[in-house]
Amino acid sequence: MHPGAWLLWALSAGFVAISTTNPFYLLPLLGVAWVVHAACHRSGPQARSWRIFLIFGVLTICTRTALVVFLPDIQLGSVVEAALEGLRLAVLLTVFGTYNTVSDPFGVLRLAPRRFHEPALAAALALSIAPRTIAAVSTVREAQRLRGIEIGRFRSLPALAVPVLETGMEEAVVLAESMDARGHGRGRRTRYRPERWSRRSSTVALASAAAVAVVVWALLRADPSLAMSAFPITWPRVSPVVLAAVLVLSLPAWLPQSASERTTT
Amino acid sequence: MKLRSSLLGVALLAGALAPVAAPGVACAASSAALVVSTGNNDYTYCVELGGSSVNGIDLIQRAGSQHGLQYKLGYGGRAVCMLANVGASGSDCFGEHPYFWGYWQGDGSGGWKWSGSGAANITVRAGDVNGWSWGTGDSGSSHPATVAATYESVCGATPSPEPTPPPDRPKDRGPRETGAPEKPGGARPGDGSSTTGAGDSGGGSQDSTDSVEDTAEDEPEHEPKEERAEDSKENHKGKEPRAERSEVAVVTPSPSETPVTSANPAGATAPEPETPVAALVALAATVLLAAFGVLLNRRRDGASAPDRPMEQQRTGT
Repeated sequence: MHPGAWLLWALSAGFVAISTTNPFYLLPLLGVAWVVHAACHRSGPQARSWRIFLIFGVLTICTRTALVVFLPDIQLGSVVEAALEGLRLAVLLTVFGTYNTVSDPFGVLRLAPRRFHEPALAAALALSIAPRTIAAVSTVREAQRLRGIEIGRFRSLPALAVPVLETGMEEAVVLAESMDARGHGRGRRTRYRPERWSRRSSTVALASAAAVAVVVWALLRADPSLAMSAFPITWPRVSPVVLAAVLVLSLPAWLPQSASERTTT
Repeated sequence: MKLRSSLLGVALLAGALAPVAAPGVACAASSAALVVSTGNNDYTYCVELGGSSVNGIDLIQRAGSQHGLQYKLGYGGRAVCMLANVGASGSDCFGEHPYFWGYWQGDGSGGWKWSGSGAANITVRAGDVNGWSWGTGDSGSSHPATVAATYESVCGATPSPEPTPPPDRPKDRGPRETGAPEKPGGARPGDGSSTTGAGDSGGGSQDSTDSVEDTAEDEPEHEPKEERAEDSKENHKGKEPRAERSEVAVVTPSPSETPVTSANPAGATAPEPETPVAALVALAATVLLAAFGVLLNRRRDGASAPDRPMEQQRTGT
């Protein structure tokens, strides 16, 4: 699928996640992120990074909840509110993780207008540093295992760190060289194998836009179901329309992928 | 290399949501109106904002320092526990739950809009009207609205009025439907004389200091709720029984009334019948999505298992 469509999908899902604290929207969104990752992730070591993002998400919830201790008066409401805000961040993280496993952040770079090429490159590097590091770790571990080096998880850290850092440096240099070679940053660019905007991309883009539109509409209406009230704690309402908007975001998982997409992306 | 300079910048995309603040009436004076409805009494204050930025909580504090409004805040100053001696004065800010202070914003024509976000996140501008009403119900359709007021009615005629005396309340309550259109007009029939909670011990006590003890005593016992259930049955079937809190005290407690529909007195359960269904659908969708994800993952792993991961990665990238 076109990287622009994936970017749009990720931005829409992130927008939906950030605009609600209702667990009955956030949990389905988490499921959506998971199923899209499962259906569309690129093969390779970076596929594992999704799990790491999920773990970080859980840590976020715990940290956010633990911070409540510093409030003057601890009550159940503040704990619930903090946990839900943590959940919101966690879902945002997993959406980001899905985006990183299904699409190459550098693919977006090609789409950026020439004028914005450098900020786009910085953004792509920043976006991809976590998954690239995770991929490097798994590659190095794999190589160590192949050579029969089987050390404990924590004792092997120094042995792991050096090659991982080296891999990161190497990757950056290779990337810069290859981009220079292709004329990036000099005002002319080659058009090798341009991404096709398929019908699937249009469908996903439309679905993402629809989801954002529904959430914006709910925000403008001050829909009480978007924010779960923790003062006092009440059973959150669920608006079927917003829930449908969340579920529509899982569309990329159900659309059939072409064979070429599965291998080349 | 040119590329290197680009590494210095990091573009961060974040969807920041600006809370929707009610557009204020263009107004020369830098004051805003604050309306407090305790159920027994309605107080209006014309509060000078001063130069700095003021949120809904600051407005209450200013009303306290300028007009002597009594208040108590909780949760680090983000929640309103007590206003005009009504509400929770103890350590638990929501000790009176399901009764709590609902926050409204004036729509400029005397009606009220239930505020979607907390008072601490709302910027009050000159000419705005903020309202607080004591009652149950966690949305604009179920919470009793504040008495109708506009900025002009509060600040226009008398720049800095004393708390308005109660007698003007019955006629003020008439146009309230503009603020809460979902509420049927019969929601508050002639409740001018009725006073929530306080009505039990003597409907004539309009003194706000009295009402504090009264509400504190009466609300935990669910006597009024039976009444309310009765009324809501007559008025409109199944339409949010907590919408008419102020009818509660029209009647003195009569234990013989059927307590059947007071099944959810806590106000915590959703009043709309389809809500649990939607929530269940949401949970079911989550579980289904997770299961599908596991299935898809298995299938893909199974398909690519023969290759060694290393090989696959080499060819893949």
